Amino acid sequence: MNVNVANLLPRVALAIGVWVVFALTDENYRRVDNFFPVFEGFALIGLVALGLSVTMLAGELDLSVGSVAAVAGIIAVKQSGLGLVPCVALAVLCTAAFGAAQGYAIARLGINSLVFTIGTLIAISGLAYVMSDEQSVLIDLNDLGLSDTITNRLWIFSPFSLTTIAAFVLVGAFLSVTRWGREIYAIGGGRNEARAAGVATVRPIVIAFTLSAGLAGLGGALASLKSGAAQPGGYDSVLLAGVTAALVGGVSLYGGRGDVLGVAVGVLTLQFLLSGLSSRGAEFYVGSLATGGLLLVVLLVELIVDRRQVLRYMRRPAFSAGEP
Amino acid sequence: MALLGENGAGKSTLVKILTGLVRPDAGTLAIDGQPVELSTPARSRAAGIAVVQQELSLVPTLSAAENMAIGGGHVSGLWTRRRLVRDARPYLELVGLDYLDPAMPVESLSIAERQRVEIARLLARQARILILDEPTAALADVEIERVTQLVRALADEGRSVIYVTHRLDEVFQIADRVTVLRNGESQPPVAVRELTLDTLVARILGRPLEAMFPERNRSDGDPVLQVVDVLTDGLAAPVSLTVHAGEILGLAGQLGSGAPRVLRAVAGVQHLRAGQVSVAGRQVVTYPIRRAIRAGIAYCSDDRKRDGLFPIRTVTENLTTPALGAVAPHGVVVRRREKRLAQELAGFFQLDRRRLDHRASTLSGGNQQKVALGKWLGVRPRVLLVEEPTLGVDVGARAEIYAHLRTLARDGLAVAFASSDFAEVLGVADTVATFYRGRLVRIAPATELSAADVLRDVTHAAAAKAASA
Amino acid sequence: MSTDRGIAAPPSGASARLVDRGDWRRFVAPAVVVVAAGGILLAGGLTTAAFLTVDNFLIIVRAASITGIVALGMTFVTISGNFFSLSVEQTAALSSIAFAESFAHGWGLLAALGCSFCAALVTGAVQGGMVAAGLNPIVTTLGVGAALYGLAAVVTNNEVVNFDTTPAVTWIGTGRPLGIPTQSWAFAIFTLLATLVLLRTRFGRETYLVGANRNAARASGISITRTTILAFTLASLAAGIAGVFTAAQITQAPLTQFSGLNIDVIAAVLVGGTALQGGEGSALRSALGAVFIALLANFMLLRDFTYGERTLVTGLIVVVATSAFHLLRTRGTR
Repeated sequence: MNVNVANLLPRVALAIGVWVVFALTDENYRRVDNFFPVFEGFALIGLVALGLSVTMLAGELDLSVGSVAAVAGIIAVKQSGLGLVPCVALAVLCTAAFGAAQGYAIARLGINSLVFTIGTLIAISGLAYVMSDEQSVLIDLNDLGLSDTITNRLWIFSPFSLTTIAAFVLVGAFLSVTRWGREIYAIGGGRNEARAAGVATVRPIVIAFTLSAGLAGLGGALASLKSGAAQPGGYDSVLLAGVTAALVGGVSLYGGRGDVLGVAVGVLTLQFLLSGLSSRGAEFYVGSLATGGLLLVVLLVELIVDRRQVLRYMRRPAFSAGEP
Repeated sequence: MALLGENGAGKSTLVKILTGLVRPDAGTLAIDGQPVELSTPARSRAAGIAVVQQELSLVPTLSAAENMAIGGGHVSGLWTRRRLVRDARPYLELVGLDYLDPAMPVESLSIAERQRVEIARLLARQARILILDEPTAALADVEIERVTQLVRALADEGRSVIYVTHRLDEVFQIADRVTVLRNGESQPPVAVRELTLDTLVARILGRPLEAMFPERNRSDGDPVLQVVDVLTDGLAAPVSLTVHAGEILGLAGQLGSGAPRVLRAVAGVQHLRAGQVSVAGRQVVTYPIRRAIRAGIAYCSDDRKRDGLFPIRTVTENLTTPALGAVAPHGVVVRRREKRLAQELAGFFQLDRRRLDHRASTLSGGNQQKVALGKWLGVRPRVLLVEEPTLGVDVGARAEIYAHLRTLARDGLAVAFASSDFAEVLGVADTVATFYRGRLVRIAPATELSAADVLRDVTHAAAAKAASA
Repeated sequence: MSTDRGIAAPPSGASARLVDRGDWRRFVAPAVVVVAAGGILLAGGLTTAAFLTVDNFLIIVRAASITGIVALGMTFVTISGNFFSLSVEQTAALSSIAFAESFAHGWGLLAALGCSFCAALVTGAVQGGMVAAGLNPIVTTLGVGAALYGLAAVVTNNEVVNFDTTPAVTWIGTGRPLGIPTQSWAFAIFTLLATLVLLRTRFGRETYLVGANRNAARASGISITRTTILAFTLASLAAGIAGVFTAAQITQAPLTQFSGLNIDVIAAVLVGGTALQGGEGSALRSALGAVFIALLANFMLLRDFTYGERTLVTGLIVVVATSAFHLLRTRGTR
């Protein structure tokens, strides 16, 4: 994998630092056992962040991931009778197909992905409510065993978190050793330059959005099955968490920079923070404050450290469609 | 094959036809005797044609190896870093970049190195016909040497190279034949060994200077702008010059000569590394732009699309932007004043007053340029600096712009403009300063210079003379 | 001949053409919205009994007003080329909490207003400063919004702040001068004010110019920093006003009162036709957008659409409208 070690080390240090801060004062936190809930949180946010970061690498942003995850959860729970793998596969297929359509529309229209995905965020959220009749969809009692399967504890992992880790490995490989993966970096690092060099711009965008919707769908499906219920509005906060994790992990908003290892570190950092707070008995909203704070701190640090990137963004020409 | 010609002669159009961006209205293209259709960039690439433009097409965040691989369709299978680097090395070696780590992101390379990476990419794509558009424009002397040697070596290997340039010394150094374009027409190619510097210069000049330049006036005013020993990015040696009230100073120089850099430093667009600038006897600090504007310096860049115009706003709004302080004295826009100023400026610049409420993007190139220039008069500057005053402007509007510059000078402004069109400089300016490769070559009254003199200065023909001897 | 979009120079014969083709397009967006709104009114009036009644009309208008006021503020951010602020709902919540807490502590109306507006102004200016320094506006406001939410929850211990109302507060929240709710008066007045500011003041002009071409604005001596900070401050202030109105109306400040406002406001601005890239648009468009969405929502409600169905339809309208406006803007320049 093309890993920028210089970029990764400070982030790993940050993750360890956050862990240490909480571990020093909280005995429960120090225990190895505590890594299990950490990785459970990692499982869902990791998938969302992974997909989101692919769109960010391409120089776009998919705001609809929360709604998509909700829809996937509803599909999976409703179809739980098919068995674990088939119902999840069905959910992922549906969301991935939607992602492909969305990516195609964005690429062909040349429209800014922010504008487009705000609309789809609303629409798909509405769809979730329609599909679930405005209430939580409970899993069929016969299929409760599925939840157990997913939360089956294997040391500090579970099938859910292992799936996420596998997804990271696969997407990471895709991005670093395939031509299509490189094209995503290319159009993100310099849309005009890539076009001038002959890179097709439609395909990488379609791939990026298919991945973001598909991975969010995978996360939503598994998380909903795990909890035994799918709530139509249950994934509203994953967008913030995903973006924060991606940025903390070194994925640049301006496109073209970042790698999945960094994203994984970013998700872990966030999870260390959140689990540390909850272990202390803090209310859920403190997590919001902390996440927002972490995001702002990382943004400011990046600003100071790399004015060059920001100046290039600020001097961007007045007419360039598609750049967030 | 060196392709020569002034701006507007048709060089870039020809390049666009060859690379599939523009369709020819008539005529045929043939490669190896077979007619070809170059209707899309992909077809052009498939035909073995590749181009290195002035605006490089390297993605900054990708490595050299990756940049060389993308977009060409010639790399299949797994794209591991090791493989890409391995594939890239031989071509990087060919262009003399064997010391480079192909896995470094391209943004950490110098412009010269990036240029060579682009050439390496062409080679990796097995291009047989290379088009290089002003490849040495942004390079330092020693780098130019390397590039020209490389180009010669590539041609010696059997590739065809179209070398678009204005630098005659390079032409005599490495070109086999020369094609001169004039006013959209090409002359038959001539072998370089059959040319001397003078005959080549004569071929380029060709047409008589049109009578589109206004009468000069005597400029005995006081010095308004004094630039002493300034150094800035793009200049290789300090530059000093003075512009008097009523005088038009023309800075002649081609791409990479440093002429526009002087203006930009005075205008506050780039940092002054050394030297002083004085306006009407008082030394001023000109960075950032707002300070320069307050000191009475107005600057109009060469790229009105980038920073000279607000295309989706109306002409009136465009014209009154620098003068918002006067047009909206207490924060509220006084419509009457705005209208009056816009009409006044429109009248002065002969812009159709009926178009004042239309979007600036609906104007022709010439009128857009007038707006980009004209808006500065609203703040009553002491100095007007312009880069490429008639770039992208049709012939009719050119004469008008020249006349306006002259009128402004007559009204007491100090006007200085930089242009790569040496005929324009000679025709309009009272005093001419010639630049080549970041150095001021000479300053002389326009009446004492001939077109050939200026052309020689800006193309460093002294070196060319030595080469052609 | 340039092949760039947007400002390609037409051949010289075009100087004879005096019609600015871009001109009529400027009126398409609001015209479409008005026509569509008219269509809904017609359809509604013909098919649904309770639609064209005064009471219903007042419901629509009041619902539109809160979103509309904030949309007006958001418009400044969008026109200046800074896309959106994703923290308006949290700013509104924070303001309403400040308002309620002031009363709960026994302070008077003026102090309460001062507190809430102060909170809004400060958060707006800070965000504006961060964006002016170079941070991406979307992510910055996303982060600040989350932080504000957490902050508000911590300050109130996640409890709803109740307070005793006073006649003045009751009037602000539920008064109906001439039969029209105070919020709607405010909405109308602010629409007018925002329009005046955008079209008639130096700041308004600079906002358009910075959005239209940032580099050219800088080259002309305009202070990008000042314009950006002011734009974000105005957006926050609008959110603060919405917060105060709502708190006054329900005499409490629940933390999640404004949940979903970010999206609603953005939808209103987009449906109204203001371009994301900035440089053009108007306060009126955003106001019309807010009214249209409220109209549509009300119509659907009366037709017994479920929440999900209403949301779905609204989302589809946003997608279609923005795509259509985008196509209009980019395809037909000449």
